Amino acid sequence: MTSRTRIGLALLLALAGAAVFAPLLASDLPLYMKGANERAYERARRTLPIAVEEFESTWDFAGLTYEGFDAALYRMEIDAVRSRLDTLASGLPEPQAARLEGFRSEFDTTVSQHRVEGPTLVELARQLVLELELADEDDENGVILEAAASFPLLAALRPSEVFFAGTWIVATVAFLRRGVRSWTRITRGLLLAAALALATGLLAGDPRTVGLKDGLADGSVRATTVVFPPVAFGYAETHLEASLQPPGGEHWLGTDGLGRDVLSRLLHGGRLSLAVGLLTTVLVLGIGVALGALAGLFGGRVDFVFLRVVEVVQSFPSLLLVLAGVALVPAREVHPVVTIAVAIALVRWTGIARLVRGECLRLRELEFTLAARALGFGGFRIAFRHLIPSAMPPVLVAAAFAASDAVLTESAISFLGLGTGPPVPSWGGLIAAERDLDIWWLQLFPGFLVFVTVVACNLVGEGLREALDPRARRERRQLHTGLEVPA
Amino acid sequence: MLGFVLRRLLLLVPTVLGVSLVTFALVHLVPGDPAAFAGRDRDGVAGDVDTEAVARGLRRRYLLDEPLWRQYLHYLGPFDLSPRGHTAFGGSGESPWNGVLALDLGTEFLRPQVEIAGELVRRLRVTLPMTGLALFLAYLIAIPLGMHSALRRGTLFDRAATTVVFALYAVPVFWAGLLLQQALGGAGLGWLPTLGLASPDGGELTGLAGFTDRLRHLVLPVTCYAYGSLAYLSRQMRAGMIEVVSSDFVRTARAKGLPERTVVLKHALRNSIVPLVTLFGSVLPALVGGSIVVETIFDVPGMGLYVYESLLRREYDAVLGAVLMGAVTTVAGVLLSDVLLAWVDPRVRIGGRASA
Repeated sequence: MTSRTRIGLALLLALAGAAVFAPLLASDLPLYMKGANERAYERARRTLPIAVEEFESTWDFAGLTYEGFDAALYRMEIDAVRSRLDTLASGLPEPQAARLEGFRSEFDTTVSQHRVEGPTLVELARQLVLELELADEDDENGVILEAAASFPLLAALRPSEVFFAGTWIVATVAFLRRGVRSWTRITRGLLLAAALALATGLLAGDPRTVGLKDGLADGSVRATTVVFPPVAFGYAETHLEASLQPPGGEHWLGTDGLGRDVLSRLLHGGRLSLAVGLLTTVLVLGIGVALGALAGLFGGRVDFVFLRVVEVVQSFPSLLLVLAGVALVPAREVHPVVTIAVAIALVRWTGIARLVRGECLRLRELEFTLAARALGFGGFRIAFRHLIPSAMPPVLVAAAFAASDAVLTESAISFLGLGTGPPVPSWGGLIAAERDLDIWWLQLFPGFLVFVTVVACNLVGEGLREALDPRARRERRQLHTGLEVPA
Repeated sequence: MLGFVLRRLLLLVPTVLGVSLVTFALVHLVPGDPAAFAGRDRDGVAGDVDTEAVARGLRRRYLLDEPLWRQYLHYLGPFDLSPRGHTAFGGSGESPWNGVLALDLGTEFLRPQVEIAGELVRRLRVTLPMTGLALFLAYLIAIPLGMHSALRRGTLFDRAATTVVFALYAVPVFWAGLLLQQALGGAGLGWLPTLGLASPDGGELTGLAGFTDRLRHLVLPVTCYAYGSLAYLSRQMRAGMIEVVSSDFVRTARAKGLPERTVVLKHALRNSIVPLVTLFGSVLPALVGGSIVVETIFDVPGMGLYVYESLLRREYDAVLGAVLMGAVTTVAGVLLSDVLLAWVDPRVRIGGRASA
């Protein structure tokens, strides 16, 4: 691997790392908090009887087999009650904690046996809620919550985010160790990431994280220790009083018209830009290799049709075609990242396809193909085990450039306003949001990140090309030694 | 040679058919139609007219309620399939011919007085000078730059030039445009105008003043058009030159004692410029099509902006007309490349085997 490829890959890994870990780097939730969340406690306390009532209204019929019984709704109501009980339990001192546990076991029995003895659950819940009232100036006898440790940010992570983080770590380790030493370890690493992802799935949806930052500000959440991520602003967190602040100060890269932190939006927006780049590259590779190999291996009429199709696709103003394609699919039904990636891939596959076709035509005539045929291998085996793998190296070079092209195209689409919409647009869309020339920080930074991404992809491509091109290698040696090296 | 050109021109037919079919399907499948914009101003506010009635009339007149294949045949021509169309298709015979095959690109739906063909020509008059100038400048700078880099390979100049070119290659156009506007426009140094083709009061400026005014408006968009091609061309030039300089005939030329100037300008340059000449064919479509992004940023009423706005307003025929023109230019460009190659490089023979 040449040094250029390594620099490019390092840049890409850094960008991908920022994207993958964006939720941990920039969020309005604390990474760690020790304190009493009275806000969440009060909300849970007030709504507990209502949740129980809702649960009973579905449960009433659960024991009987009645037609309108909705199992999904039933489970949802159980979860609603349980999550409130969990919220109440955190930081609750004795003896109230014991009372809560008493109610919880009553509830569990009800769920498992579909029946209750004595007073109904709703009555129990109403009693409990009265006993759990918080202490304030008027009422000295109420509950005083103890400080409890929590990790709100981790609890708000999505399983896919954890999985991608794991994948990123595996890739980075492989990069630092200069290549894959053992595929078993890679597989194990990925499996571990998947397991962690599933584990986070169980934690997800902690209601205590809702409005936590506001609570900290107005004192309804009392915390002794709070550790925020480096950028302590959510990507959609608005501060109208601090709109359009230039870089520096509290907001490192300034704020936009709604007072949202630019750095946080950049970190989160990059996830979309890079996702489009990655997905498009995969799609372009898939379409290009499949069609190119088909044309190159079959030749004849298939090849003729292939060339005409390529000509048609290349004759389009490609950006316009992508724009029309993106406008075709409503964002409600398909995630815009997918739409944009598919649209770009459908326009930009021709380069790689022609490359693969040419390589297949060339390799088909070489001795090793003849040898394979002489050994009696079938057409499929020759195609998939010999020809297509041999055609791959130049395709990888083209794929690197396809990635840079995809990122550029996506940013242009988003810039024109047809890209990924709220809650957070991709880098191109961030630029489009503000066209006022005085507010330079909203335009400079997103464009710069697109630029860095494209440079990184091009570096990888250049490096690979150099490594694969024997002539360039010879030149390099010549340069270093000053001596001719025979071909 | 003639046979080859004719053969390639014949292959143009399936290509253009394919392009028109795909574009037609695509623009018609995008939700909404031009009739929905009828009787409304640019912001979609309805005027005094009954928009529903206007929309119904438009849909009937332009067959927008008919199945897509009928609309396509109507567009393709040569027969007019509308109620006023050819008698063979149940029309009144008022206007029997229509469509591309009858050499009629139609009119805009919402502004029926605007002939699309005429509008395309008007837009070309705006775009072509810009892209042409940009391309000319790109070649003008790229050839000496690439040549110098190649001849001084490994020096500080080469490394600096290669790095700059490499970086230029990765700059998103819209970003470059906005930053240029910021740096040189009113918000920054205030050197250059940032929007439009001429000052609003430019009509009164005559002679030299008017010319400079228009020239000053051209600087930024032309720069945006040029830097990408500049980067690409100079890279090609450098690579080509390096290859030629290390070839045997250059060594021979040097060995027989020719002055370095003659070796470079006569032997090396002529050979390394060949790929650049043929590249001209592949940039032809961009020359004609302009750029949506550049024209949006600088508010230039050229081809790119026209196509984009037509797409947004669902002016099907305008989009189709522009795309078809682009497609023909692309294919013509490829053909031109091949012919140019044969012209500048006598070793290349075309016509023997189809060089696809």
